[in-house]
Parts: sequence; C-alpha cells; structure tokens
Amino acid sequence: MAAYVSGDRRAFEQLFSRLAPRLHRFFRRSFSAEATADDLLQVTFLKLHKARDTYRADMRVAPWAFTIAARVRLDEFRRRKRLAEDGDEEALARAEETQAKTQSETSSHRETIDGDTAEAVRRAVDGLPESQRVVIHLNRFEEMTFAEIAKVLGTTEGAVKLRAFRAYGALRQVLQPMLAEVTS
Amino acid sequence: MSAEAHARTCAACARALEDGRRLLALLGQATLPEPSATALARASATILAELGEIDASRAVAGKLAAVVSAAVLATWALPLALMRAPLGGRALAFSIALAAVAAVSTALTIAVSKRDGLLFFAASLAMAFVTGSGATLGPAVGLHCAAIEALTAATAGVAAWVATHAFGRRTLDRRVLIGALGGGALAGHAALDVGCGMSSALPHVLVFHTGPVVLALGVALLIARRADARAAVL
Repeated sequence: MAAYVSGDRRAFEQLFSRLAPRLHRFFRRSFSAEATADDLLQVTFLKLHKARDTYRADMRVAPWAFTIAARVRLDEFRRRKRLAEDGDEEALARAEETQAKTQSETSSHRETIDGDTAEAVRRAVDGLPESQRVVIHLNRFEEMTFAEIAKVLGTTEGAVKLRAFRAYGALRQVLQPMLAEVTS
Repeated sequence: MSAEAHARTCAACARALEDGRRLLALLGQATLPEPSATALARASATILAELGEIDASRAVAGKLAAVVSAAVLATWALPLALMRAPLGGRALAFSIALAAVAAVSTALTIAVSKRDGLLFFAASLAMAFVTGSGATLGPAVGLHCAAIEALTAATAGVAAWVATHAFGRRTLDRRVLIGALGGGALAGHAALDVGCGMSSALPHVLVFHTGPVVLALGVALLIARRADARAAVL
C-alpha cells in the first residue's frame, strides 16, 4: 500500500487484483445488478485513489477500502431512496426494514426450497433487507468482526449485532428444511 | 471459547451452537459471480493512466536531475579553468566539496526534495562560517563576485531550460528552476572559494558569496510563483 501511495503502478495493480473482486461482490450483495456493481466499483476505486494520501501505515488495507466502498453504497442508496443528504446508515436500515416488512406482509417471504442448494441459499440471503444482508456479507464472507463492520458502516457495534441477530434468525427459519436435512 | 465450554455441559446450547455452525456452512454456498474482465479494466483504467503519467514524469525528473547537476558542475569548473592562478591546497578542497554539494543538492531538489532551496542556503552559509573570519567587506571586489554567481546561476538556468524542452516539457518545473538557479549560484560560490582573494573574510563571503545564493533562490521562487499563477488563470 505504501508503494501505491507513493505512485507505484505495479503496487496498485496488485492491490486492485486483490481488492476489486471483493468490493465487486460487496456491491453485488447489496444491489444485485451487475451493471450497478461495475459502476460502483469504479467510483470506489476513484475515491480510494483520491484518498490514498490519507491512508496511514497502521491501518489494515481491506477495512479501509471497505469503509470507502460503504460510503459509496450509502450515497447510492441516498440517491435511490431519496434519503436526506445526511441520512446515515441507521436511516437507511430503518427505510430498508420498513420496506421489507411491507413486502413480507403482501407476499409470502418464505419460498419453497428445492432444487439447487446453492441457489436456494442465495435466494434466502437475497430475501433479507439490504441492511442485514450487508452485515451478513461482511461477517460471513469477509470474515470481519462486528466491531470492524460497525467501523466500516459508520454505525455502532450494538446496531450491527442486532442486524446480524435478526438476519441469522431469519435465515435459520427460511433454511430450516435444509438444516434439518443436513442434521438427518 | 467460553460458549463452547458452556455447550459441553448444556445440551440445548450445544444444539444451538451446532445449528449455527451448519447455518454458516450452508451460507458459504451463497457465493457471487466474479466481476467481468471488462468491468475490472474499466474500474482501473483511469488510475492506471494517471500512475503511468506519474511514472513518466518521474523518469523525466530523473533525467533532468542528471543533466542539470552536470550543468551545475560545469558552471563551477568553467571559471576555474579560466583562472590563471595556480590551484591547490585547502581552498581547492573546500571548493570541490562545495561544488559536489551543489550538484547533489540540485539532483535531490529536482528528483525528490520538497524543501525549496534550503539545502543550497544551508551549504553556502556553512561554507561561509567554515572558511571566513575577520571583518572586511570589500564591496568593490564583492560586486564582481556577485556578478560571477549571477552568471553561473543563469548558465545553469539556461541549461535547465534547454534540457526541459529537449525532454518534451513546455515549462520549467518549480523544482528544476530552484535546483538550477540555487545549484548554479552555489557552484559560483564554490568557484569563488578558490578564485576570490577575499574568500576568507566572513562579512565579504556572507554578503557577496552567500547573498547571491539567497538572491538566486528568491528569483527562482518568484518566477515559479508567477508561472503557477499564470497556470491557475489558464
């Protein structure tokens, strides 16, 4: 990272090849659409490049990059959901959860799980409100602690734990037949 | 770990823990596709282009540092070559040392330094106190000394200008300007350590040998500031 900060092209290429697929998956998890993830990946790297002088040697690179990506994600949600300019992570979570509640009241949230296991699990994750999905993604797929996730998303550790608790609870319910299958 | 220790003695919690493990394992299957090569190329293109320009700019800065440093050494050697007086002794050793410092400082200023001209001023001042003593000013000789330093600074400046254009740049960079004028003036000071009859008189050296170095740096900064202002307007 230090080499990249001082303008080394090869160091950037290494950093990019390590981080870009992870950041792309982060956006895919939040927005699903590939084109959106592509655009936001580009925006994130441009912001990261501009902010590289603010990087300190004692920082871990991935959480720093994900913090920038999380801000890009929040900006995109602000734009899409017409949240206030200062609408923070919690405002987004509230808006998301209200929307998810309405959807679950009007349609059956639980789908029959059959066929391809991986596809079924993916659908179960996609069925979560985005504010919970992002926590699950960072926790399960990026192996971040709840404290690290809170820092990345700019919220409290308690709020992150609550979202994770709800998300894992919902997934346990939806995926119960598969869990039982594994047990038997 | 404490949860696992507890689960060993509590069947309900052991079951919940096992459920959690199974759920996490199951979630591992919810992988996402890799980004396309096109998306990756698009996301990195602007940054790679910018870093490429920085690389190219550094390469040119390295070449300029070498050429202008050589010019600085030449501006020191030329007056010495024209002198009829025999060279040698302590004064020549000091002169060579200061000329070397001038060349190295020029290279550092152009290639890496962020401190505008401090090296040149510090070296000139240090040499004045190392070689000078007494209280003679010698203004008549002093004007001649100042003119020589102005000439060496201008020569290095012209060399820097020519090199800058030869390497495809349109304008003299701030660092190159400071390196050339500061280094050229300091090379003049180094030559005067041998050529000036009053090079051991501290007031004379401070005013007419170190003074022009400061003046050259001031001129360089003034030109650089004007160029920056013009660039900002454009």
